[in-house]
Amino acid sequence: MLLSQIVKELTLDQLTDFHGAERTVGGVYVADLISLVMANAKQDDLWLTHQGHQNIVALASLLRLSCVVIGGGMRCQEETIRKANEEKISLFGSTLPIYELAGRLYVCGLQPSAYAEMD
Amino acid sequence: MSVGCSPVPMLKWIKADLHIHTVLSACADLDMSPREIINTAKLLGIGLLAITDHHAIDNVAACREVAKGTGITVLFGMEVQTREEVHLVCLFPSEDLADSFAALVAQHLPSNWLSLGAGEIQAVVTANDQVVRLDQRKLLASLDLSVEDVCGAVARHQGLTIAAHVDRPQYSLLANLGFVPPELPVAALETISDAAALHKKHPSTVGYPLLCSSDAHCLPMLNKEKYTYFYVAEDVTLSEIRMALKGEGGRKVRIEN
Ligand SMILES: [Zn+2]
Ligand SMILES: [Zn+2]
Repeated sequence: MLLSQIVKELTLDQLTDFHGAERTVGGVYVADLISLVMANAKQDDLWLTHQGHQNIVALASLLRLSCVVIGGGMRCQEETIRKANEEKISLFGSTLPIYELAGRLYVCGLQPSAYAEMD
Repeated sequence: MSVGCSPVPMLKWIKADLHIHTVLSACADLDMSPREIINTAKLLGIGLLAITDHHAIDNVAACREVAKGTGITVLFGMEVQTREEVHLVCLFPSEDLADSFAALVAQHLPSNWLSLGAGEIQAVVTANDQVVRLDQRKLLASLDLSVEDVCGAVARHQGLTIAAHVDRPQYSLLANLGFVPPELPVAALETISDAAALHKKHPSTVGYPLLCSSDAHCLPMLNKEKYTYFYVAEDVTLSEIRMALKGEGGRKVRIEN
């Protein structure tokens, strides 16, 4: 599914410039502990989190994730946004709870990250 | 003596534990009173302690009073929980600076205080182990400050920040943030791993001094397999610790069984 479609479907707020709107989102990984994401997320995943710390950018870039969605109305540091634009990582925000966002992504047909790799 | 040449103080190895909770931490046992902590430290030959309750410094002065004349130094400390739920041990050179930092922290705790759980007690006590008051605010909650914000505030209060229990699967810099954020001004990392294992698993930890502390919540926890030893002036101050962590002026630090 195209990132631009997902952003529209979930009415996500754009926190950075929109990098790679035509990018395909592979799967979804949900976690707040960055160590878990390091161990489990896959390339092209959408990362759904409450975590707004600047370390999310370095990791999203390293793992080549499609974007990071910061849900639950959590704020994200200015520094995070600055770095994301530098690294061309798209960050989105939403006031919807993570559960709601995850549910909507599932309805969109997006699979959990691990399943996405299996097929 | 020429100007700018200060006399070299006698340096010696001091056994240290820079992360200890008292009865002011809800998660600590009631036997973690100033007298019991200092007596136990004396028995174990620990010469340098930091008292680090969650978001409070109220019991440090009592511990320092008990320690008077024992040769044990007690540093002003506090354990902070950041917005990212990362625990940081913050140490300060004086009561005034620690007080001022505590006031700042209080402003950044949740405004709608959670209440303490059943049986949880946070007691401010005297050097005679008398209860002065019970703090009813739930002190252990995340501040509305990032790890960078806290490190910055500690530095402005002339303090030192140590990333607490970095090996733990939660409430730690490495679990929550994945790696040590580049250029984060932490003075040291507290770990139970040996350096080689930590560096292999977490390359971002290379270059940071390592400390081994107890994070004691009960008296038996003060008795550990490994301790941090500082090679510093006998009259230990926070600047001596800072020098040891940087390896300056002949000061040094090591972890030993
Ligand atoms: Zn802790
Ligand atoms: Zn602790």
